[in-house]
Amino acid sequence: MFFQFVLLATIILLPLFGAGLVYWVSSKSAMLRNYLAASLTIVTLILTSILYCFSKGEAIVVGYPFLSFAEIRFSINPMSALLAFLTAFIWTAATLYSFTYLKSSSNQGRFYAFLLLAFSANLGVFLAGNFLTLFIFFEILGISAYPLIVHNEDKKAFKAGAKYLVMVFLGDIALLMGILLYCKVTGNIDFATGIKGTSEYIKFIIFALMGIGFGVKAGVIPFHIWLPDAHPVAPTPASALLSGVMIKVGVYGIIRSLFSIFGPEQSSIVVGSIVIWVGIITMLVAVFMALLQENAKKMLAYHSISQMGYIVLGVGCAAYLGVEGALALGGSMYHIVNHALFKSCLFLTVGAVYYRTGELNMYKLGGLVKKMPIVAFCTLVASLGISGVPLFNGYASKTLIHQALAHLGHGGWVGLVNVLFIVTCGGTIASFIKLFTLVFLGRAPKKYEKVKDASSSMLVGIMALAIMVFALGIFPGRFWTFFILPLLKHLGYTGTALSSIRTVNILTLHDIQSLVISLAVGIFIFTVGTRYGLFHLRFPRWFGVNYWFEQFALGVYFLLHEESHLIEMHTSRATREIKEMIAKKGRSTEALIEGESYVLRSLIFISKRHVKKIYLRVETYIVARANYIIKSLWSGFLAKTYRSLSASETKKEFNLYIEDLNFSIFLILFLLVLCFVSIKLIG
Amino acid sequence: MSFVLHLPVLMVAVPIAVAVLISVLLTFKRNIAFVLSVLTMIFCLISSLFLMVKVITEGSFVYYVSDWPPPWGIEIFIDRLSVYMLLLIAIVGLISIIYSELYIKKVLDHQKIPFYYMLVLFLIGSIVGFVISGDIFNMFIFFEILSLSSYSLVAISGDREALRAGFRYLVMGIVSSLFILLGLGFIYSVTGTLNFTQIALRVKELSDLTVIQTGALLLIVAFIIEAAIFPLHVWLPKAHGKAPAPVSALLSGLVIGIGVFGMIKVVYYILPGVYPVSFVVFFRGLISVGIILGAIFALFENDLKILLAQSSISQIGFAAIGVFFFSYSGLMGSMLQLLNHAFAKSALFLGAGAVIYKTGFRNLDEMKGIGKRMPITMGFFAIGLASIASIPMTCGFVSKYYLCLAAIKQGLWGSVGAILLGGFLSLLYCLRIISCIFFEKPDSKVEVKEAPLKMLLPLGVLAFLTIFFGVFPRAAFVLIEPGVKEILGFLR
Repeated sequence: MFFQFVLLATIILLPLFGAGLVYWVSSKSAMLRNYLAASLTIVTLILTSILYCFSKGEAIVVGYPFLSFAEIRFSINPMSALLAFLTAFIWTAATLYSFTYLKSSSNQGRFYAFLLLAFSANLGVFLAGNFLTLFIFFEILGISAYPLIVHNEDKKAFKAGAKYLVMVFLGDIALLMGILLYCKVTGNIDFATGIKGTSEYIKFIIFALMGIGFGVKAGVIPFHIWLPDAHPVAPTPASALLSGVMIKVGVYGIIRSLFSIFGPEQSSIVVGSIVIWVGIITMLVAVFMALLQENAKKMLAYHSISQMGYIVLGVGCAAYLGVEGALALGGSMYHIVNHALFKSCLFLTVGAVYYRTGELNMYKLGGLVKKMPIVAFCTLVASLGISGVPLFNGYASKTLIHQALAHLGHGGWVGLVNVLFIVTCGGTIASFIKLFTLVFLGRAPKKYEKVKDASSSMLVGIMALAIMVFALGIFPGRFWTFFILPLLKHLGYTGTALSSIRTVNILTLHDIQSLVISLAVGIFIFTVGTRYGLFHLRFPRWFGVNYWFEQFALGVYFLLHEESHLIEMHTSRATREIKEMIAKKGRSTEALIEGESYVLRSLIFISKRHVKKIYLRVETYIVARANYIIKSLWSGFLAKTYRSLSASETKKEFNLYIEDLNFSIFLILFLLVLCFVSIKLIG
Repeated sequence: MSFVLHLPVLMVAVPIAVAVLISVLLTFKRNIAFVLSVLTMIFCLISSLFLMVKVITEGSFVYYVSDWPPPWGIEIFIDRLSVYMLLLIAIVGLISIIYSELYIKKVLDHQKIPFYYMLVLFLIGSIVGFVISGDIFNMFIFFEILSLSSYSLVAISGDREALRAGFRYLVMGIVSSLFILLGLGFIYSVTGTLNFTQIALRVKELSDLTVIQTGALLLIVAFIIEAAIFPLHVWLPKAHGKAPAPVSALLSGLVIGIGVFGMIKVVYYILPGVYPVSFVVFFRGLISVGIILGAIFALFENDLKILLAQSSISQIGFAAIGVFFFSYSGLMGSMLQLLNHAFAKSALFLGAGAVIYKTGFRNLDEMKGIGKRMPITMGFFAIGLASIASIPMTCGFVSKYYLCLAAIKQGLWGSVGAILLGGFLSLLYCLRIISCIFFEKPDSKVEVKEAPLKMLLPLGVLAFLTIFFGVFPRAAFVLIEPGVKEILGFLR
């Protein structure tokens, strides 16, 4: 017991204290810092693999007393140990990769320090033995990823970072609320196998709160808006880790909370179908958004969202099916591992291309297969993995999730889910055909004549991941029996549920059929898309969640600053630019990629101009009206009331108070509504 | 170990005596003031450690000054919570005084320096007296001394704004002490005594509680002014923002915390269980508004020290709201928040002071990227911020966790909302500071170096304590857990 405690403490504390040490060493010598960071991650990798050896039997629980009713508790079990090992493996690859990649970057000391801190927090989340510990490390992880995202310190990075933080903190609040409710209902905060003796309503509310908290981190739609901004803007090793490992924390949390609240063997049709639909929508929308991207890293970020959709779908199936859901959950866990491997590999290869060429726009690259053969080969392997081609790892997990779908029943909405699943697989395939052909095939532009293959320290990381992608694809059965089955047993599935899935055939006729269909769909999407330029379509901005989030944030900002005419400026500029655009080009799609005029580039663009004009006029009218009303209400009646109450004398101070007041009243109203709703719900 | 019984009185007497001594020595020994005050504070720290051992082993005790029993003499009441407060006072007081040596030399005139130490010692002595006294009248007297020395400390630099802030504080403080006087008059008119235990006994015999309730209300409002809870917070931002940094640390870390401790004394020791529900709901509502408003004020402030003062309004609200939950978790949260605020907020003010000492910058705009120039100072500063923002593994998280749990257990959704929203907004303003200090590119080309060791060491100790109690909160539980259970027993 003591030995395990020391081992666990070392695994978590080594990167934690290492972070401080690396920061300190960084000011002395860059060389020493790199060696130190590398050796710390490698030692932790070795320790986690030792840890895995202890995880076979009963879960080992160690901890120390923290609060009066809870302790900081860690648990060594097959699930935690597997994920911890995976984390350490990918972290090592990314750390080795980053030495060359970041060679000329500033603030490297800070980068490595926070990389190690995030490493420690990530291991802590996976090894946590109760919800309190999970929450603590979850929040530390959320914060320590911020310096990685804003590493470049430009305007775009700060914007993405701010959005990330706001979303993650809002998620944390929901999560904390969920954990406290869980604590109130059960009396402790340990992981359990199902709460007993409470109504379904309360269970559902707790799960919804926790699900929002973890869902933000996992990038589940509609909480994904921070992800496509934050993941591409970080330096490549950090984006590989964000997309490959840190995002998994969210899914892991969803699985943990689902199993603690509902238990593995009680089926809950309502929760199950909600989660299934959330998963399906996430998969589908994100894959189509990915097809429309030009920036390779942004495309990969959208694919991360989409792949999270697969995992959430599997979790939903498990919740829906109860005892029979072991297969679905196994598929999800398998996909977590697979996605971590191929997505970080893809990020690293795309980063290598960027490192050599300085270009991320796929349409401007080409013909690099001869210049960078090893990188091209690894990209191919990882692409085949994510596309779900046999002999590569993605195939096994996708097939398992697809087989689980068949258990749901036939016809009706299940049929629709099946169709959408196949379409998403097709979209993924099309997307990666696009990536590979655009970047590596075709003719190389002249300026890339002298491009060489990536340097050796980069290749070590990339190749380690690519080999794992291949290895898991060749031996899916071994992996299933050695890693996934003990994990399912740990989560609470009993003998009967497990014995039926001891061996799973993933090459049935039905599977091959659906594989062929999805390949056909993929090739169809790719050919039609390139032929008719559909990949250059842009949806109107109001179509997405992001637009409304930004509008809301802008609205709050507007309420705070009476003198700012941000919204008026925003709308008037948009209309003027639109008029100019129509006058000049008519159907241009290239001119405006960023900025307000996204509205233009839409399906509407292809059809009629009138619709567009009417829409814009209405939007301008409504926004202006609503703002005017709110403004007059806020600064008229309420401000006067406060003036009589407040002790401020000067005009400047008075204005300040009005600003404070406006915002506070707004928030209080919001809060009251929130309270009211929750009281009604819990009743 | 019988000498331990006399230590509480000495902890009041020694600082005040030394303060008087300093004013006498002024004419011929100017430089000795600092040494004397440090020695006094070390004495206070050691005696509070002795007291801690005493109450942990033997429980709370009552001490009559020169053996006169209550109706005539002064009673001193020491339990675990008051020892806990004494420890906080001793630690933060000692650290602030050590820090002030260099800082005060820079910002104050040469003649004023001994006065500064004198006032600080008066402040410390009166806080200790306030915490240990066993009857309301002595509480009132020490409260007066405390207030007077704080006004003078705020205004000590003598510039226009500081004088104005000090004057505002003076007006509010006088109102507050008048409220106490009025309240204790009401209570005395019914019970005929001012001693805590005797009041509690007499109140049980009364049939009509109206007068007592009025008295209690007056006392609580007085402490609400002292603790700067909405809507009576208006004096605080300027007073704490314009005072010299170590004074701000003392005022923000201890004095407003003492306001909350006064509330605890009224609600649990003196008049337990006389409060109608509407009172409690009203106060909870006010405090909730204060938590959110203070954080919003802080979100839009540019002057760093005033920003920290605004955040004190919000943070002390967390400590105060726990008092009105009347539950174990609530009080635990409250006491832990007092600890968090004492350490973290003092660290923040001292850190801001270090920046002012080195560069003279007061506004956040000017401080862009200063974390890259003085990484150690700003690192400690960031730990303080993390605790204010209730990031896990700092003691701010533990306290807010308890408070939120208490509110949820009782189903007080309004308070839950206020706590969570307040926490969220605190995170936002802390991150605003952090991103300004550490991530933005510096404008000015002035070479800035690390603060001197005499300033770094106190900061480091505070940052260490913040982290220590976040990772091992059980260390504080030794005192507060039985203490809280004991005072909850008074309610029955």
